Amino acid sequence: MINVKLVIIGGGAAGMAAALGAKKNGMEDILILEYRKELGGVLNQCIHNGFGLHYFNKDMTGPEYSEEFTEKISEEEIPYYLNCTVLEVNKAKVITATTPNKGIFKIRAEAIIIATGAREKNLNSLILESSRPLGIYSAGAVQEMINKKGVCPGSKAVIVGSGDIGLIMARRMALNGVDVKAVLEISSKPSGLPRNIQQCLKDFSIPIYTNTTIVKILGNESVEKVVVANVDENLKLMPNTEREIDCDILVSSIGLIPDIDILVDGIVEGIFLCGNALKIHGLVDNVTLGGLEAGKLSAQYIINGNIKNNDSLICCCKDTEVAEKIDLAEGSKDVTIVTCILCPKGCLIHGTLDTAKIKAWGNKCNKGYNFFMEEVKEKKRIFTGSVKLNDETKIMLPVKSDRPIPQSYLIPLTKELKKYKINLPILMGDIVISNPLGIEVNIKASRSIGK
Amino acid sequence: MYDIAIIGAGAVGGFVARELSKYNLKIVIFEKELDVASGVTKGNTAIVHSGYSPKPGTIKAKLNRKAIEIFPQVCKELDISYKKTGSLLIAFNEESMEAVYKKYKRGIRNGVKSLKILTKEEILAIGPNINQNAYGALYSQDTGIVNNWDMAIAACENAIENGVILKTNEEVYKINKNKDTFYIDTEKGVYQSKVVINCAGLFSDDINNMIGIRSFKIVPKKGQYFILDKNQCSMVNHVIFLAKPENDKNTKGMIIAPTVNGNIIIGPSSQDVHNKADISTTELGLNKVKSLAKNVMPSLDFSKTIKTFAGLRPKVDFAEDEENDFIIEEDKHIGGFINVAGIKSPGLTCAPSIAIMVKDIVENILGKLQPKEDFNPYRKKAIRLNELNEGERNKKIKENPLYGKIVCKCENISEGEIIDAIRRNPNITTIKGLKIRTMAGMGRCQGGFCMCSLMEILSRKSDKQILSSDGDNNC
Repeated sequence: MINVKLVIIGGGAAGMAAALGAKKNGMEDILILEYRKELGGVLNQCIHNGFGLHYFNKDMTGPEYSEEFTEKISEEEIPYYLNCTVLEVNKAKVITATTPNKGIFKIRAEAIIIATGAREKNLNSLILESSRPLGIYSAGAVQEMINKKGVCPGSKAVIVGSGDIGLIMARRMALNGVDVKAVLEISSKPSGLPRNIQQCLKDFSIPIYTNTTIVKILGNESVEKVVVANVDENLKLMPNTEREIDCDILVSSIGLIPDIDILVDGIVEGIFLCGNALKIHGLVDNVTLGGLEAGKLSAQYIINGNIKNNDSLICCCKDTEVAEKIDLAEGSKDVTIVTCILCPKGCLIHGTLDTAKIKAWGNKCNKGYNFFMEEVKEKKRIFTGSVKLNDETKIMLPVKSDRPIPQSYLIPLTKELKKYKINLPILMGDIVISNPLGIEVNIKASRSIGK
Repeated sequence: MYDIAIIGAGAVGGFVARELSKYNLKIVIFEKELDVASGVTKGNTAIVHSGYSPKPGTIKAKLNRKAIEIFPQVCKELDISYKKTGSLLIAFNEESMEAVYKKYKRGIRNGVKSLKILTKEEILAIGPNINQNAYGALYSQDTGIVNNWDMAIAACENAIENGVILKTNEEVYKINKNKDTFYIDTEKGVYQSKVVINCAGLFSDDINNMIGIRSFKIVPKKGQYFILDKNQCSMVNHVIFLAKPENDKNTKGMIIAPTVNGNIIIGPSSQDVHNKADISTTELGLNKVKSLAKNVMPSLDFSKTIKTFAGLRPKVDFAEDEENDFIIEEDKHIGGFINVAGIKSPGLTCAPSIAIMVKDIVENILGKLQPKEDFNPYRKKAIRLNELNEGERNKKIKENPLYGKIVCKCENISEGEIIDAIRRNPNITTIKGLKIRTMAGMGRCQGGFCMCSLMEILSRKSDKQILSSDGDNNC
């Protein structure tokens, strides 16, 4: 048994922030336990951009956001164990964990921060007509396959659920040449952010069917088709609305569940929860804020010994202010509607394209006005993807373009990048490919590997 | 030339092979799927029945009684997870209580020990979550739960260890007999054997029709199930059967039971289907199971479902006046062709005793069998770190650090355990095979976190690219 004052379980966005928050508030004896082989959690497979807009005031990819924090963790010399899985946490605040080098060991902590994130709900658990054939995946699993392993599990996809992960995977699959047939949403409004509806679906002409649910998965060996049907406002199936959609992959994005089953005796005094382990957050920036707060409170708890009731649940996820209700309207002949993708607000900017005088309204800031002007001229997007490395590990290097490029280049560029193999070592921000396909753009590494 | 050709590598085929491997015989098993335990064995309730249900005098009754005697020893030899939990057959009204009494009397006649009729108070004392409206129950101490997949896997592994040849992915499509030799055509070749044993489960009628004279037809009965999260395990400590009124063909009994892995299994529904590949769950079927189970145990939390699945039972389409019994016999006209068919409940329980009965039939055909001197009755399952104490676990991790690296964090399965499973014989070539051997990917996230790693490890270790999750029909 070893004694550590503050143990943080989970080295993702929440856990790293918690460690930094605790350190900042005077806590010296900290240990992070991470079950993956590196810090960063799911951020490392979220290679798309859109992170950090609030916290860093920058548009970053998941790996970039992660690396900002891993750097700080090493600057602060906060110790962490990798490949370390916690088996249980009991009410005496004794943690049982295992690693390849240490074997099973126990740690007694004065305070514990649970930053274990969430797991995805799975389709297998639903009441559904299905033979459970090959080709059914959670969005997170497909994300890991495509982004980290460079393997795409099919060619025609249907996505169940319109949460942000589902939308982002719709785009990622479309970029990789998958024919994304549809996104199904059982409620009347998409549940993801407006900007993701725009940049993940509309940009790629992927239809979203609201008030629609999946009723059957057809195919014995592999998924062949799904049967979908409409539901009414009480989510009851509407008769005679069933229709089939061909597909060979079915991706579920039907929600996340806090993953806190290691707490065998539940939450006791001195155990703090933050990040998705506490509540499902929409933005990682808010996870970071919650983590920092959890770190601070746990430090105060250890140092001063006092804690108010309910302080152990740390959440900073004010719901994102969304400018307009998500609207799938396409505008009219006279009025063009653009969803601004620059921040999670997703302002719906209306404008008239009367050439004499372009007018726009509905934007909450000047950036939005400029975005509208650009968007009606030519859609441009930051490119994100991953490239093979010239080594044995078979890991992929996440990359992004150094400036927005015309949207129509995204798919050809994804295809082009499959030809490359990048030599190690790589530092985040290194230009790894210049002007691919003759497009004037640099492709930069989104993280450091091998340095 | 083989002495014995067994068709089908489920629990029954596996145990028959293992039993016969005790003797100096050349034995081959043909399995049409990529792995053993792929048919009826896979989608099973995994209950060890104590034997009060079969009609006295039937083969079922006889074999069930025998099975209960030998089950602990067999599971010890083959290192199969088995737990005697006891069971309650619960009635909620007077009519179904009559059925309970009838089963009690049957049990006594079948030689089942430790049967007891319980009052409502006694029921609630040992099963506090059971509906307060319980009327009475039959308690049977000998009922248990077992790892259904391992029944086939362990038996096959041990049979292979003792010289049996297993040919997976090899479907039999023709059988002829010339003089005393059977010629068995598979997609890969023609094999000769002196005896053919049909353990083909759902497809035993098709195999029988290739050569047998007695005609029968398998009409699959579909059963649908829920599996609940391990964190619900304290809800159910016994196998709970719902008693149904006598002669009531419309209502269906159902089972709520713990599993050896610590989950709760609830089901099965019962529906005749005509397609032997139809293992689809249905909304109707699952909702029926759910509402029946809610009557028995109102506090069951179905939001804790981690998986639903369906399995098929090989019901023989008997005439009205025929006893609904196992068919275990040599064909009356085609000497040397043995049918082991219609092995539905309590088929999994009876697999070891069926094997002994089949051995006796083989002995009748081939004459006294010569015991193999070096027969090894023991099979050791791959180690499960979860089942070791801390000291043993650390010793293992020191030997191989990969035992300390968890891949599936819902079930806490290490990379070392996964690699061990891949290296065993029969070989695993599918994620499904990996899942049922290690339980990796079978927990509450159903592989969301580890599927990618499982695919990678299996690709790496089996030198082929595994690109699909391989579904998990039925696990």
